[in-house]
Amino acid sequence: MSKFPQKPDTGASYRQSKREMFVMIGVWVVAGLWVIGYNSQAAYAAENEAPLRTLLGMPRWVVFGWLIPLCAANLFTFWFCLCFMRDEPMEELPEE
Amino acid sequence: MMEAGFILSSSAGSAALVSFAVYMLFVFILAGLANREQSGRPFLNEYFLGSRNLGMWAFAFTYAATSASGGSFMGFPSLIYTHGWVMALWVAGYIVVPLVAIGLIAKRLNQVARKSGSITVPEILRKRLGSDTVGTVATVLLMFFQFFFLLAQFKAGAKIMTTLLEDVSVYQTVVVLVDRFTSPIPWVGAADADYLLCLLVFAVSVVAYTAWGGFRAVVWTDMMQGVIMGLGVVILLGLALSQVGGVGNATTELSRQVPPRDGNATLTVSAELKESLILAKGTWFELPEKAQRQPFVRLKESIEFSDGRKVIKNAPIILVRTAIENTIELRSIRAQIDDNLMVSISDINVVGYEYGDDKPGVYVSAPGPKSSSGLGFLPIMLAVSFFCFWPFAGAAQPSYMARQMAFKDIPTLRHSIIFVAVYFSLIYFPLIVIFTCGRVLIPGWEIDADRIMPEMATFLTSNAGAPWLAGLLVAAPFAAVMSSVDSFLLLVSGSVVRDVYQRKNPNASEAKMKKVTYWTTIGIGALAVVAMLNPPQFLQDLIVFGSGGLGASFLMPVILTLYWPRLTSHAAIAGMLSGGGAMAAFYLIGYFVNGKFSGYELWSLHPFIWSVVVSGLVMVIITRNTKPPQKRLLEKYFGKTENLG
Repeated sequence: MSKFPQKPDTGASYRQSKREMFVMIGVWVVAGLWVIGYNSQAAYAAENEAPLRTLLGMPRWVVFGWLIPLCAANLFTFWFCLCFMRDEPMEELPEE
Repeated sequence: MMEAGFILSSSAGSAALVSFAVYMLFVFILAGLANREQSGRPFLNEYFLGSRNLGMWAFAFTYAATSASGGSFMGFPSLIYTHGWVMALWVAGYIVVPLVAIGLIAKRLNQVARKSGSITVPEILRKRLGSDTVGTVATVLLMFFQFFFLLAQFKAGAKIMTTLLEDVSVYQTVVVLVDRFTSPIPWVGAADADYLLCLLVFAVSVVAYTAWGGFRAVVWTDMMQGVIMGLGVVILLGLALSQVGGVGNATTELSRQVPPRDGNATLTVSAELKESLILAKGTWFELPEKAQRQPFVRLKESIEFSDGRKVIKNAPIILVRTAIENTIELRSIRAQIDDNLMVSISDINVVGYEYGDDKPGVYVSAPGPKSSSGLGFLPIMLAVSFFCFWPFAGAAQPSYMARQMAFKDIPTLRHSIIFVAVYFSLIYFPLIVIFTCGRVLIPGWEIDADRIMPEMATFLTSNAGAPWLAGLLVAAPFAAVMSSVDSFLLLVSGSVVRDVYQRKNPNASEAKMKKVTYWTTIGIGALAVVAMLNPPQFLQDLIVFGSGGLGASFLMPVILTLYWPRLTSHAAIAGMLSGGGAMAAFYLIGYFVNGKFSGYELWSLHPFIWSVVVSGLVMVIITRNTKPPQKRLLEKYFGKTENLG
């Protein structure tokens, strides 16, 4: 987030939006590698666990493969929105 | 004869009805206030986008409430109940939904919409790409897929109302009257009278307040509905955990559960009948213990012994086999068994799930049980599909895009994304906990899994001695459904009015536009009611088809329209048609291969993934082989062309 000019700059706004889009896609890839990578082993193996391994009363794979990534994704979202995403003036509406 | 679950509903019925009536009253007050706000502002801009000045709370709540639809509060709980903890993996993509689904296009979409003066998604595409055909194709696809989505919400709304009102005497009297009146009418008579009545009441209320108040009414009611949903989930969570004795207890009992078997049996009355005997849907029978499991039979439909009939063959049932260590589950079932029932059960013919039958642990692991596939509910490739599906299909929903065009500035957007992230975390995680507890607290609801949310609400509140709370809790999914229906109604009517009617009648007066808008909204609601008289069984299948179809049609075309200057109108048309067409083709193949309405999963990947890949490839290939867009359009939407790279 930074101070923005008073008048909209279409080109600069487009380039900044594109940068932000690539970061978001990157986050999605990292989250996917974590969740799918971990659960492809742990969640599918839990069927044969006897007794079931639990943490906080839930199956262990749910905590490591979903709950913790959820918290991490939320933390990143806070940072992204408060520190990385830039404010820009809004485009003017054309006359009808 | 009534079984215990329904008796509990009965005690909650009147109180729930009052809470529900109060809720509806507030909805109409908000719609009235919104209608007053319309005066003095340009009608279409105000009616469809609330004059583009949504602040943080309004934008965040309307986005979250629209997103948390009947799918989240009816279909999703039904799936958690049917498949267990694997649903955490199914919904895992939601961890990045607030960031990706909103952030990916919201900022840019809002700017382009303002720059072009667009009110609808087809209008943005048409103006940005300078082609009327693009707009027309987008309008047709949007209306087609969005209508399926709308249908699912109508079904959900009616289902919730039937549960809420089923034991209210006035309601039952009206149901009998409706049945008498409608049963001779072809098509209409085939629908259950209670469902039909609720469908009509639901449709009339939601269409009325949407048509009356427009976008602003939708946003304001969304805010109220969002608060109710959040409160409802938090209260449900507390009640479920306290009644099951902690999530650990639920998980332990769940880990011993095996899926029920489905089939039929013969019922015999062992006493003389002076009048007809009706066994309600959901009636339980206990059988002798076998191999460390206590078998129970539950009726899937009401059975009537009349005209001296004492034996009924092929009565539809499920066979539930409870582990004898599962004390909470056993206690719950036995509390519902009528010991004075003079009916015996024999000739039980049942089949097990193709995946998970006799397999303890199947509800606490992946891939989860599935009745119709030996691969289980969520093979790993399907988990990958859903991880892609939720954020990206979410990003491409035109109903969300309409909201993304309406926020007033970027700080509003930034703070809203944070709010939605927290809100979704507080909704989806608790829902999974609540309905895994539900499998233990109220077993046997595989007979009508779509009703598990309202049943759970009435059960928990009655047990807690606060049946009046059921009204609020049942209002939560109802609010979710309403907040989606009103948005979808507005979206479809917006497309019809702005992209079809106004294009053909550019000089129509504001009064005329108002009239067309109101009647279009009412007409679409009426169409949805007719289509939903005999709805398909699984709500979630319709929702996934509708949202997947919209995602496949619009994801790549919208992203590339916003971010790729070189994109041509021909490519956008081909991208929308190939994406939507591929989705429909996969469902058509699925219908023939699976024998029911479901997508064909090639290599276990969801049709959405294939459709998006097809759409993206087609667009890139056609763009490379068609004339570049006009410089005038590029400069307008991307700035100086030398900076485009």
